[in-house]
Amino acid sequence: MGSFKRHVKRPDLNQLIYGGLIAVVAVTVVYPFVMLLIRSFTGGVSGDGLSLIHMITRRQILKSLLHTFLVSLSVTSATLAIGGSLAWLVVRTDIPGKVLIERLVLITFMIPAYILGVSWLELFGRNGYVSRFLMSTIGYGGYDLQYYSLTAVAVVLSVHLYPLVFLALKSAFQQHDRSLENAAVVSGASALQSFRYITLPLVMPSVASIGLFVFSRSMANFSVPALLALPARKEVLTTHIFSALSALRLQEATILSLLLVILSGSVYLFYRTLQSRTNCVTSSREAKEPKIYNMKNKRWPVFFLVLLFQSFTTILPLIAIILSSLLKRWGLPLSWEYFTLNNYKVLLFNQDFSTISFRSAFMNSAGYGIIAATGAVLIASLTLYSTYQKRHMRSRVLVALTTWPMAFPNIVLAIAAILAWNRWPIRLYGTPWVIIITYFVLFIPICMKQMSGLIERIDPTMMHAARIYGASPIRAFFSVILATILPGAKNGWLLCFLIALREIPIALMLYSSGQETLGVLLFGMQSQSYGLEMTSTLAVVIIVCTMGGHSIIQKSKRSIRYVPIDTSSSE
Amino acid sequence: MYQLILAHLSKRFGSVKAVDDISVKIKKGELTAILGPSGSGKSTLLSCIAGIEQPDHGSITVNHTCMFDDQQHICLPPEKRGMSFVFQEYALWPHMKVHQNVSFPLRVRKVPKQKIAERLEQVFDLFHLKGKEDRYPYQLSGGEQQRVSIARALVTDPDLLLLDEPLSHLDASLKEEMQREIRRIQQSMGLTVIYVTHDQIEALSISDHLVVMDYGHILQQGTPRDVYRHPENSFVAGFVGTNNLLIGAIKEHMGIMMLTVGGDCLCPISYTPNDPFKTETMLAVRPEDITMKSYPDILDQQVGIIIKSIFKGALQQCWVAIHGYEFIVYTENSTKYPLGSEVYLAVSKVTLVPD
Repeated sequence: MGSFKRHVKRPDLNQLIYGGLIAVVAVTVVYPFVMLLIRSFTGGVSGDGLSLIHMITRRQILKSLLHTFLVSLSVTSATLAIGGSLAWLVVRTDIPGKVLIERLVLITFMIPAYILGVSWLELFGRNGYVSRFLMSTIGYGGYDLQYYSLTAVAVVLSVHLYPLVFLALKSAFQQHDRSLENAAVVSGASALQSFRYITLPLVMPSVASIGLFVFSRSMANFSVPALLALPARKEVLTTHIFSALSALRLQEATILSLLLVILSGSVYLFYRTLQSRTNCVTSSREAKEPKIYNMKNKRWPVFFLVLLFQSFTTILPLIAIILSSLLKRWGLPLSWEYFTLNNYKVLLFNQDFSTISFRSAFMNSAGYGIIAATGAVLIASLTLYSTYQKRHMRSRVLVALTTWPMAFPNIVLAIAAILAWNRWPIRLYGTPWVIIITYFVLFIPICMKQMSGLIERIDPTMMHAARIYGASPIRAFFSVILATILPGAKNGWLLCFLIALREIPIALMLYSSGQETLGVLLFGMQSQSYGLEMTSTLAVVIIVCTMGGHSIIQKSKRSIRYVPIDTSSSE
Repeated sequence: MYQLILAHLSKRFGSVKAVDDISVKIKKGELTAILGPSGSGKSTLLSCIAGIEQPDHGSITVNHTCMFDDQQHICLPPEKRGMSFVFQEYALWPHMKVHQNVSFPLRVRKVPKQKIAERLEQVFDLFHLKGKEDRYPYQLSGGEQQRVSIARALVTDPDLLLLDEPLSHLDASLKEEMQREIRRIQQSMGLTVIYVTHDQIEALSISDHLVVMDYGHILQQGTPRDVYRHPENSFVAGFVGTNNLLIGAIKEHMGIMMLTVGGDCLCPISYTPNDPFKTETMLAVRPEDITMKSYPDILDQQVGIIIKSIFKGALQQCWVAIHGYEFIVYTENSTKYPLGSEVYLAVSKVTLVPD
């Protein structure tokens, strides 16, 4: 566009936008993190007199650390093995039912981790469907699986996270030109050698980067270990933070949060560097159809094996949740006389079926979600626009600051919020705003991710073309830039809204009475006088909302086809 | 008479003069090709005309309307210039369907819907895009995207159409077809076109007027035939078509006009230039103007050896080493002269390169 002499005296709108953005980000993102840092090193008000070093060398904490590592490591290896082989089967072989397999993976992806944990209890718990099935069919009564254990946490998180690996490696496998492997075969390599020397090295960067991502996500998860490990008195870092805070040991919670941030932050940084490198290795502009491996008579057996696996990880958990939600009371035998729709009636229409009503929890979740998501979309699109215009150092700083919360586990965002907003000069703790601001910080990078791929596709010539064909600068901005990122903005907003409907740790640690959200309700349901049947009912409602929202997103993504695959945080 | 007049146009990027004091007059209804190697400033020149870049000095006038003049501080923004531009990468908006892309120039001009529909109908017919209206650009082949981008450029009946290497992403056969297509449309509509390319064959075959550029300067302009036949400097002689360049003179020797290098007789010349070049100077000989013989015309004629030979279908391209020069020769009777055989050359035409 150049700078035309007529327009030189334009008021510097860009400077203004940039200044505003920096101010907002400084207060909402940087300030809480700085507070977390300061309070970790200074004793704090409560002053339980523990130094940083003293604290992190305590035995219980070392134990939590070890547990966190063990769980994350096993989740990472399990998801890589499962997700990787499924992706290879779907992309590179002639396995039947590819669409079905992919659908089931996507459905698994949409079930919130906590709900997957609940279904684990319903299936494998002491009075669970598996034990009852064994009793009634072969009369086996000695069933005692360690259903509350770290292993259970690892299994549930693996099922929850393997779809991420599947999606990432699927696109990695798809990006390889078949000529690369044909070249190897022509050069005399066997099929196995060509896999070993060509395919594997090519996907290795993708494997490493998605592995790191899964590692940091399992390290950051709070709700599953809280559900499945705490009852067995096993702690990981996130639950340890929660316990410390519940016991009003704020200093300990703060230091543990810092520890968790350092760990997951370094994993995240490593992931980012790897990811920028995978992009240049694998993204060829015109990827051809990949080479298809003919499995011959092994096609159907392999397909049924995959289907069996997916039945256990997706279909059975869903059935367990739905069945339980229809039972009069958890634990009753599955016969017609005990089935009822009353749970739904109580949940949806009974104003005061417990201390918290579903309606107010839903209104809280939706309200916080709408405000935070709208703010996040606004800030994210302004940030992206200011970076698109001029790729200065300062805009890179802005992007780095706004995407930085990606590296923070939700529970750490909550602790930082407590430290920042519970004191002079900005006292928000106790008001809904503390939850809204924290959601806002959580949502900005998610929205950025939905839109950045789109804005990068706008070549400067697109703007030039619009101008030459008669559009004014403002018209060109609206019809090219805004129109291109709008689908991403909509998707990002919806995605954030859906997260707000099921998010647990932030709301759990920041809510005051009257601000309970759906996540808080779901988490607390069991400890109230209601059994798993009520938890399941709420879970079904949340799953239905999530799937509805995701199907809208998927539909709009298919219609534009240029939004990157979403791997954003959702707990 | 003149559609576009550029006067003393200059544009600098840092210390690089991308466009350096360029003056060109372009006639209405003509296709002008701007030919130059990459980095010669030809695309920058086009961007300056379109208003994407703002020149540092000079003026641009279209149809007696001033578009840019640094003295009078006039610089119309691109949307006020009424030109059309076809980009090398097509620049189709990915979020708009084909019909939305093509109708965009009409929609921003607030043309009534009815008229837009009629015009689109015509344009889609003209460019064989019927049935592709509701596709997105990514659903089209390269050739189709190209046609959409040209359709978008012509939908408004522009005064001036600018094309920036529009065919460089197409394969050879499609490229030739599109060249003919562009030429046909340009002639039938009487369009004034500026066509930037680095492909000399494309430039020669498509244009009425040829402008050769390098390092931001115009090195020669004229009809394609003129530029090909009478290159004004060694760059044009070497860049436009294939040429054998040498330092030599033309002298009479034993009653025959001879091409001589350093006093030695290289080969006879079958025509007599009006003004024989007695002193040694730079000369250019086209490969198609040389014939090979197995015997000398005079006794002390230099002998050549065929050192390389490529079969090119219609003709054979040979490299003949003679007196320290390598001559490229096009011949039809290749079988007669195997590699390594001794030949004598005869030249029908020699051009003086003034430089």
